[in-house]
Amino acid sequence: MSTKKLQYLALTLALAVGVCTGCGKGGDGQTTPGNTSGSADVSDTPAADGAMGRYAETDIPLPDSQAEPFGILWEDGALTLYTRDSDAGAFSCYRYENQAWSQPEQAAWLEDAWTRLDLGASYIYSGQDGKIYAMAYPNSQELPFGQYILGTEDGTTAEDLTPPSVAEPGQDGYREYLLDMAVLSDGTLALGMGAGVGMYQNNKQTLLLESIPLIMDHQTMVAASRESLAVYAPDSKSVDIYSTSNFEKLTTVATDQDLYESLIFPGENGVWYLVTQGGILRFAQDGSIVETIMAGTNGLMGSTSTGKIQFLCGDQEDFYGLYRNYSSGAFSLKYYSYHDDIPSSASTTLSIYGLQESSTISQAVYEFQNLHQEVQVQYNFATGPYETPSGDVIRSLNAELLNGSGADVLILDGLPIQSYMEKGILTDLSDLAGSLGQQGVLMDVIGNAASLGGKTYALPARIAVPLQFGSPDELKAVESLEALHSYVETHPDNSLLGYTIHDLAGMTLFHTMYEDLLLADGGLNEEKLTQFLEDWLQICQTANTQKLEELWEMNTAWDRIQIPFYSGYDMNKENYVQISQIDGVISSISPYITIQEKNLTPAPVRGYYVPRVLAGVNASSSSQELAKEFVELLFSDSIQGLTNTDGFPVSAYGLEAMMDYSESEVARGMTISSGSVDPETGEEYIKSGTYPPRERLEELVELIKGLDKPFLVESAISQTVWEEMERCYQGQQTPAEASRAICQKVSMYLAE
Amino acid sequence: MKKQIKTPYLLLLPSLLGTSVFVLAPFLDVIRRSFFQAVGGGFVGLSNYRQVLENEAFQQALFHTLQFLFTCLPLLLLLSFLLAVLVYHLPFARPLFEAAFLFPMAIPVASVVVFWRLTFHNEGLLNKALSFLGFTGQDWMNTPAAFWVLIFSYIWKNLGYDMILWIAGLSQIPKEQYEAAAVSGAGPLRCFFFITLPQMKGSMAMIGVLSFVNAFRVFREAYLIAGDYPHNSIYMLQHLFNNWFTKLDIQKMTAAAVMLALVISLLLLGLELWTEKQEDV
Repeated sequence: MSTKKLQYLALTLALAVGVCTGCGKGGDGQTTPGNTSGSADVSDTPAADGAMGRYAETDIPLPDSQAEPFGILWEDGALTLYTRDSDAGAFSCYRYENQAWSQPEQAAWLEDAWTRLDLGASYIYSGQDGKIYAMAYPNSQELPFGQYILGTEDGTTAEDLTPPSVAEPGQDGYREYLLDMAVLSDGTLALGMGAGVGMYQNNKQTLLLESIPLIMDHQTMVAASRESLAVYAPDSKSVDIYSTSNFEKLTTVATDQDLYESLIFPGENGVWYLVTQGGILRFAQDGSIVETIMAGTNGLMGSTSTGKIQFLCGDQEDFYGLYRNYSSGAFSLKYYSYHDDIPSSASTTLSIYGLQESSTISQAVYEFQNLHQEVQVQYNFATGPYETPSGDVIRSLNAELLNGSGADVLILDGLPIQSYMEKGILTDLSDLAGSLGQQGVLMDVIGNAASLGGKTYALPARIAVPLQFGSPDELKAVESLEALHSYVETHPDNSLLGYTIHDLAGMTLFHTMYEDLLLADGGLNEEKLTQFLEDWLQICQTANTQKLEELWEMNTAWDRIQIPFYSGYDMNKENYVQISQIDGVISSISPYITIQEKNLTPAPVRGYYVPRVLAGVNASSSSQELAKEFVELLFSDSIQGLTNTDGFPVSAYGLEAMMDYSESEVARGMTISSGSVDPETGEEYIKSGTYPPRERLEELVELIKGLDKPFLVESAISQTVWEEMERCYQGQQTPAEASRAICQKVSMYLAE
Repeated sequence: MKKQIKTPYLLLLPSLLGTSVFVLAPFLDVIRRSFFQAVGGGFVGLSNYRQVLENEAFQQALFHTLQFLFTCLPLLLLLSFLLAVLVYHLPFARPLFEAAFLFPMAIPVASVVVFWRLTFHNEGLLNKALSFLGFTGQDWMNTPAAFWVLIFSYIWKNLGYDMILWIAGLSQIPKEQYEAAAVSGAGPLRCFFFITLPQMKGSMAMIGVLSFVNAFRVFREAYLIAGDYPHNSIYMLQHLFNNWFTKLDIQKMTAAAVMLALVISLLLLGLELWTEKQEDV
């Protein structure tokens, strides 16, 4: 073959290779657009080969006792549950054998620690030396605040094993903060601290290992087995395994999981188990095997409403997990065992997608999974609950939807709902809406949140409520554009919104006055908008927002928080109005402190509510009935009864449960405080409040029942207004120019 | 002979296959979608095309796009040609100048955008320079001046590239023609108008087409600097297509894309015929 022909052939091959590069599968077939975390799925494809066997969760009812569980251990071949009654200083333990709890036995050494050492145990540990240890807090202020290590030789007398260098306060008056502990077979204490994991032998620190940064007052950092020590690595996603004989690092196991709020514990024969929201991970201490043995969606560990207190391994490769619900405070104990008769992966998949993570959806996923063991539920989201998704995420999602794919259930918060309804992306849920009305859901309130042509396409499982409260003149000022203008003219020296920054003030007022600015075609009235902007600038000048922004080193805030209604900072000023969006009972505490102190009457803003957890069904989904069932589950009593920051419940049961909760021990013991410095006077201003009493919640519930207007402003319009207002505020354009630019862009947006 | 004809096609085959699979086939799907509803697959005939032509945003975007093309293309062709003539006749360091003028094309778009932001921002370099000289600046990207900023950005980026292409065309003209003209008493201007210009028609057609294609790429800078809804003067067809996609108005997007492709194809065909005629002459 001639040289030229060889060259031609080489070029052709190169071209062919170049064209074929990138023609690969491009990742697994069920990649969800923009998903960065939280997809707790394991078995992505249905069990086509009929493979059987997987771990399943069952509930173990806790003993009937007023005492609070605080730990579980495996002792003498049985599960032992530790409880404490803080009021009485009583500590007990129960053994679980033959599927029944024994009578409580007194944990004498813990009670001894309580009475003699003035230390109350909060966490219980099993040492590799065969002994039991506890981490305790002082009951009074006689001891320096911090954690103490308790041990016992005879089970009756407690010993304070806290190394002196840890227990004694430093030069700054504070002592070392302990977050976690483990005990090796030779009695060496491995103590998790801010600086890392310190090894203590004979009360002296012999070694300090790097570990995960400190973000909570108690977090897992270290665990010990006979042969090795597991320490969470500084990257918070991997685990360093050290030999317990010479503390040589054996390996680092990358888990791709966020290790905060996870638990790690040893199994037999050098195996370790890690429990995260993603499920139970098993790995060998040499890092040779890393596998997920149970998906998070199949167990309570996948729920974001519940915290994991302790996990341990039984003697038959089974597990026990103690949990606590964040909002209700209720404890639960779960048992995980391998079942040969359950399909290893579900035959059907139900996928749920939302832009931001929602604890309401997480809990619903857990409950739905329990109801339908034959279904693999996948919950994917683009960002965490406090981040802002990018526009590219929406474009990726649209590409999927247009191809007739995408998730079965769509959580539409932040998505272009109007377009989706018009284009037939969403299934008609009118029948479901009708039946929910009969089940006590407030359809009078939420029925019009996402409807078109008389049909309902999505339903909000939660709502946020914008409230306004303040002095009479100022409240009148936010009733209309004319009233606002009149107020600004007649009160040139009074800051309408108190302490605020310019974009919070501007965007809150814009959203409040939005209806007044609208034209019949959906555009904005340029003249009225110009006047509004002029009034807003005047308000900013009176409030001296520039000075406050310099003081607080805060140029803008709205672009980060993206809350439609948040007018400013409540610091006990006089003669002002505050407009605040409350996302649940907890977020109502702060505004209600002011309302109570000043004997004000809060009112809804123009009858608005903000739909949250707006659930719809993808019209292209092949699991229509399952998807509708999931949406229906969002309105069930158990989900509506949740207390979280997603918003208020929308069912009669949920609202009643919210009021009943106010009478619970957890609620009565809840106190929220916040402190700030008055920028004008320099005085410290501290607000402190408790969980609202039933009477106040009843007023709030009546208020919620009277709402009927969903606040749905396209994010593109809000973003455009914000950008032009910024330029106006910076002096780059006049209010008239800003108004013209806004109206032009909004007109263009509507014309498209 | 047959083998000689087959070989080029064989060599082109992988590239053709790739283009077919990743460009032509998807475009056929675009054409198909332009006759159907966005979702659900209902056939609507020419309704989407009618909607697009009646759409006010489309009309505005089209106007601004044509305005941009009719302004920037002649300017770019003229400036790059004059620059090419100058650089071509440089007595020394010609490669250095060619490389220098080509440099903007090598800079990534994101870097260009950062630079433009720094320059044209209200507190940017340009306003500071103007202020230093006693003039008042303005918010360049939020006034009708944004149009000229975009023109400047386009010309700055493509000037060197077009210049190189012109130089390639200039170097095709035999030197003997200039020598013969000089002997006959023709000066530089007459040589330019009667020798250089007539022989650059073919190059002009090709450079015009390439510049036309590059003109659509200016959307990247416009989008990164000014977002989904820029100042009206620079709101162009690509912005509209981008926003239609976000709103799932695929039916309009595909109809507009098909019309655009048709018009451009007709233009290029016309240009091709004209070029062939010129060559025959």
